[in-house]
Amino acid sequence: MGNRRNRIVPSRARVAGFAVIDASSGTPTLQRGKNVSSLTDVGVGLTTVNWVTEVPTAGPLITNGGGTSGSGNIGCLRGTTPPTVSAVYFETSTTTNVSVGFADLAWSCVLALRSY
Amino acid sequence: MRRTLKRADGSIAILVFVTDDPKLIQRDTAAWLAGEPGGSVVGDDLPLPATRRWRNQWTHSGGVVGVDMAKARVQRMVELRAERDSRLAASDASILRAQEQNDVPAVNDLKTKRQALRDLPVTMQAAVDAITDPDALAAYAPVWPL
Repeated sequence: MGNRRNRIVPSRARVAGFAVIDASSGTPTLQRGKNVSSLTDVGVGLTTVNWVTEVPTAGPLITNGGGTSGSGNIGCLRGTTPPTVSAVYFETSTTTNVSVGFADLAWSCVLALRSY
Repeated sequence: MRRTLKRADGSIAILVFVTDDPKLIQRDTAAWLAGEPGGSVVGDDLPLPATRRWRNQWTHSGGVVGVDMAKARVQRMVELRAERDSRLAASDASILRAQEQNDVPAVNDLKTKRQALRDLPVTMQAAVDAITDPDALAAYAPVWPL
């Protein structure tokens, strides 16, 4: 910690876009965000974030999730549906293993960084 | 604005727009359609089912977004079988203990109840097939022998 070389997020990274989403009821709603044009509700625990302007896929992309049922809540990207410059598809679950089953979470987030 | 989209398999996707920019709305809709051969736009701001309990079984029929009951019944049976399996597994230790203690009445009782659990899907399937309301389907549970 504090060692610039070991930082996960590059010190000169800039936020290209982010979305904090509540999918606990109805349809997913954007609680906070930057550079988001729309959200696609694909199904339980399945969401796509569509960006207003292109987000470079080479930059770091971080997802996470949280909800009401303990510490297992996660959000993750699916390898078979990689992010594009215009959208990020991600999945959320209340277990540490998404393949067990998807779930709508009270909050989940996607953060796309642009380093230069 | 919320745009309802229908996939070729009849399931539903919802585009929730954060922007009012018609160009972005058009662009995101076109992008979704390009990735979903056979997909179509159903309408904007259509009423949706009150809960997401059957979200993966939503479909659009007769101008209304509702629950595909055939698919919902399949989902409910999967859930009920999983519950049945966990109840069977939970009784494994009990029957082993009863056998070790040579408690014949308890062993016989557990055997009967475990067999009833194994036979339950036939009864459940008939009951589930008779349900036509999504809320009733969500509420349905058999009388568990164990």
